[in-house]
Amino acid sequence: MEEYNVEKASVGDFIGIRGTVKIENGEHIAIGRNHWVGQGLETIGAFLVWSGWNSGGPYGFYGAVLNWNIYIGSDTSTTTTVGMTSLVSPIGTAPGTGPNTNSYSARYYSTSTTPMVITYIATWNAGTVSGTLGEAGLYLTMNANGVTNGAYASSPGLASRLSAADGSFTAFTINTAAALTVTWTVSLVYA
Amino acid sequence: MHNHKVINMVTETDNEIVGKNISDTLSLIGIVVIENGENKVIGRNHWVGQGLETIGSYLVGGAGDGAASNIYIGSDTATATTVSMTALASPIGTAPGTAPNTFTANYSINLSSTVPATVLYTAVWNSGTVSGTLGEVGLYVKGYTGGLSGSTYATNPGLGARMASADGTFTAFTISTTVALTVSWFVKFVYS
Repeated sequence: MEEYNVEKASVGDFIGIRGTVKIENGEHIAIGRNHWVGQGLETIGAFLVWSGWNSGGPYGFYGAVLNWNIYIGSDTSTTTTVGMTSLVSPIGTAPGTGPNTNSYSARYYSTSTTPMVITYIATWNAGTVSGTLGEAGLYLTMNANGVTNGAYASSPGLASRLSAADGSFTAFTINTAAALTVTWTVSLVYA
Repeated sequence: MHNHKVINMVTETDNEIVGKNISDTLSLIGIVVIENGENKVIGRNHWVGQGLETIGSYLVGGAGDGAASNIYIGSDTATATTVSMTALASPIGTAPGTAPNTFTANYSINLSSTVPATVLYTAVWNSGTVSGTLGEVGLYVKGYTGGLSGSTYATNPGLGARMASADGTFTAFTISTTVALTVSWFVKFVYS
């Protein structure tokens, strides 16, 4: 594929997709920026290139929240790489112990450059998870094969990760007497 | 969200956000190449609100079509791009414009590398099928424009990004009708 570099840039040339994660568990509050991994980029890009939806066949195209979730893990030493496809040490059976509740919402202003903000929230009730919290992952529907045929993965895949090993937050021991809430805020900004 | 402050474009609490590194942000950059005989221009697109909305709505969408739709061209040379723009200012042909004879979309990605992934849309109008001044081009996308509250799918694609001579991005020219006109629209995903 031919490459071009164009130097001129002004507002509106770029759309930046950023993720900020807040973890709340009793006295613990941690906030950090996520790291996108290759699968996350791939599934968003597949949406841009795929044009149809074959509802009657084996290949369909689905939005990112057909299958989605947030999982947590205990790893504190493995930095995020773009080739990563799951949490390193999920708490519970892989991909991890699902939260008791999860939800998402979006806010958008069509006539201004105010960022579009999408919020994913997952809550584990007190006592349902324990151990060291060193990583969290946003799992989204993977239209990984949408590049060629629109097939989607029935199980969600890691799109973005927040990890203590990246220096994004300080790992802590989960307080099992309090609920644990992870709020993943994805903003789309004009830049 | 009262009594909160804005940190790095995201409404959050007073806690400092740490850990800024490569791959914190995915940046989508659009580069457009127009070829028409001796005329060749290259410039960056400007994303408009519908483009941002449809990409973002994918992240909260359940089912529907992909975004790839079409490319249209127009003759306007005076109207700068704004985020609220939903169509070309002066499309060539009946709105949204004269469709190209061929339109393709391709995708290149290396899952284990930070080399930018690229979506390439290519539109070709055969010689003589369009004429006049070429002053603007638009990438039309379709998506979950109502997906913020459900998974409503927009059947009519809308303008997602525009490159306009009025933005100073390229110099308008008169289309040569004896040769084909090709618009190549590169959307690059960059870790940053």
